[in-house]
Amino acid sequence: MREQVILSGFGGQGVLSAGFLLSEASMQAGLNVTYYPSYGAEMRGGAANCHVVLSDSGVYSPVIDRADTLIALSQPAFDKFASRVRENGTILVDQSVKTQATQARIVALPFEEVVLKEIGNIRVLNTVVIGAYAALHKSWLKKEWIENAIVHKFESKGQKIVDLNIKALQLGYNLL
Amino acid sequence: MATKVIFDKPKSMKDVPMHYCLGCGHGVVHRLICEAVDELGVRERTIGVAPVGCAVLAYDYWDFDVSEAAHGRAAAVATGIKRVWPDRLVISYQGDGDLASIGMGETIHAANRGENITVIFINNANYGMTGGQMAPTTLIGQKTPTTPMGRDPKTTGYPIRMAELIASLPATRYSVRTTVANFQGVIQTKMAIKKAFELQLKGEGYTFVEVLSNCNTNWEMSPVEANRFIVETLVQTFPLGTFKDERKL
Amino acid sequence: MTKVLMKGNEAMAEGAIRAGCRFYFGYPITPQNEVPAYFAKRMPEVGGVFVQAESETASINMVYGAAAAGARVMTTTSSPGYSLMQEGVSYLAGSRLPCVLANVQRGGPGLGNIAASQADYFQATKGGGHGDYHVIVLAPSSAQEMMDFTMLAFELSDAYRVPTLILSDGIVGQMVEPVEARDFVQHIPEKPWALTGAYNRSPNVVRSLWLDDEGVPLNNEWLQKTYDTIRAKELRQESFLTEDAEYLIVAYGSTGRMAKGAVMMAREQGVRVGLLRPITLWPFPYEALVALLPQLRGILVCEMSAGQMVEDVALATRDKVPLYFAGELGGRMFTDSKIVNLVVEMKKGGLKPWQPK
Repeated sequence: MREQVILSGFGGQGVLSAGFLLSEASMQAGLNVTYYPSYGAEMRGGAANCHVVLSDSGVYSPVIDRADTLIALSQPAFDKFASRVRENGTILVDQSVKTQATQARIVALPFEEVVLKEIGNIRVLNTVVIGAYAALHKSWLKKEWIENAIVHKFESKGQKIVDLNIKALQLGYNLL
Repeated sequence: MATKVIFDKPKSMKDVPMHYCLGCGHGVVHRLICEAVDELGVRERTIGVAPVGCAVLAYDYWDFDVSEAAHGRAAAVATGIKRVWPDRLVISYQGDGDLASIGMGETIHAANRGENITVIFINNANYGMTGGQMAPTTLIGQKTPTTPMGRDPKTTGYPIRMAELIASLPATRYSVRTTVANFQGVIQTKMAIKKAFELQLKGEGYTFVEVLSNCNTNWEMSPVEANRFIVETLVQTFPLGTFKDERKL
Repeated sequence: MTKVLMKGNEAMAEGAIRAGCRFYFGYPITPQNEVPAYFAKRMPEVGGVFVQAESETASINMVYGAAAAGARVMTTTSSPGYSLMQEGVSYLAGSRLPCVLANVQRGGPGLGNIAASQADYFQATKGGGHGDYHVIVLAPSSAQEMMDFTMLAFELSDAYRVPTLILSDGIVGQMVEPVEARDFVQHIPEKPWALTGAYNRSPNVVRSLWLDDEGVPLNNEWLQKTYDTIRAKELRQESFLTEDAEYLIVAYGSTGRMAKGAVMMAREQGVRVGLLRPITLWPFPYEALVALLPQLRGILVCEMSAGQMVEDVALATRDKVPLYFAGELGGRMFTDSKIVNLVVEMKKGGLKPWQPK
């Protein structure tokens, strides 16, 4: 299999962390992975996006031309990348983003609303989104891989942060 | 009833949103420079030199002639411009890396030659644009990506006080340190910049204004905390004041 | 062996540590700031030394000093910084000092941008600094190669007393991939010529200046003989699906990755295309290219530049096989799809042959 995901949003939304988490999870599961981040020169506020290529065989180009999935956490992210998703691919967005029809299917979920209501901390928005992504790809992506990656990434920050992210992951997973 | 404008952007400042982080001092100093240029009526005689650093895009905000310079070389570029046009107001605007690290040679020698330019030095104790690495002005104990355990003077020396260093050179006409971390500071910075420009326009020699500014993003503080840090802590290493104000030549 | 996700820049730094490098001097510049930050943390852990120099000019001269003192030493930078280092590189080459340098290329000329580029090829392989010299140039295209080629660079540099350059780019430097951490090098060769204090031996001198008639010519002859040996023994390239190839792409670094993807996609469309990916850019693998010529109907060179490596390819093909070039300028990059389209065009005869500028 090969899955090409573009994650995009404002600098500071955690888009790059989300892509990294997905990469870590996939590597632990034995897949080949390349993660390529892209930023503007500004320290804050510019756009951030990353390209994640997952494969059970070779990963060639780290830069994605036609994505299988787009995760767009901001309006500019959707506007910029929606046309780069292949026919019958998936675009995962927050409900607040205004979308137009594309050749990919759009899955709009109340990420921001749910994370603020159920967790009260916008900083784990990106983990919620990864949870939803995992639910969309149950055929090859196991939730446990991501849970292990969360533990691995956040254990130095304390059990509370680990638990927060595990909860956020489940929250996103349950949205589908 | 007609509306009366009592506060507006200076004419020589372009009306565009700035890319600087929220709370950064660059935007304030840019404005003070433009106010001074307007009050002196010299916009069409002003030529700025932009650094390599967060203010690399200063020419997007200043509505007068501006040149880029290679990293650290702004004082040399300003020298070239001023020698060609001695009656223009030539301003070099630089940060910690540009002025005090890679550009230290050019900075000292422009001052030592007494070039009739104004150098404005934005001191925020780190390399902002590249992610907060140690600068020559970084405080002892300050943690940065290249001093993860805190700056240790045994291996990296001490913060350099540029205003004092420049003041020690005989050809320097005016060297001052101010801050934009509070209201009084902003007013003093404006006065210092305007005075430096007036001295340059009268041909009295090299002027240097060092401004303590915050980099709240890389200091990992809120803008309010960062400005408090300047007023309470940074000034202990970099005291405010005028270090030279006399004509020797 | 467990793999760890590492950024290319960090894998390069860790590779240096594992090769026994205990001295790093450098200055921040995007897109390789992860390197000094990594060394700042890691050197104290292994009893090494990290110095943030005041500029790239200072950095390369600190490298000169540490290399003269016999240590395994490294500096890294990006294009504008590598320009500043050219005088120092000429001195290192002329003084026969081993060291490892890295240029994580970005868009230029001048201040340019922070996107990846391959427009420093000439600077890296044809000189850059003054005088008749070469540095060995290795071109990684993955995070694993960033580690492996850095370790190889220390071996080659010490073996031949020639500076070795890792010519990377902003994509390879920033990509994050699983990396298997190689074993720490156990044996570092002795350097009897180094400046360590003339105890029980006659003094050593490190120099590149001779004012008599013979000194500099003799030094140059030694250098040229050394380069001949390196050319004979150290060529490296990757041949990807070239055995039955009718068409060939030549590309290196991150463009080599896009090209590999293009080869796979083009083969699905029935085009028998392969990739020759030079790994040593100097010495350039002319021989591997020449060996493929009899079977080829066309060669496409892809570079993130206006055409630099293509000149070396032309020296190998010498008009025996039609040569085409595609470039991306000023920080723009290729995609695998774009290269596939070019290959299909090449097969249809729709591309204009490359002309020297």
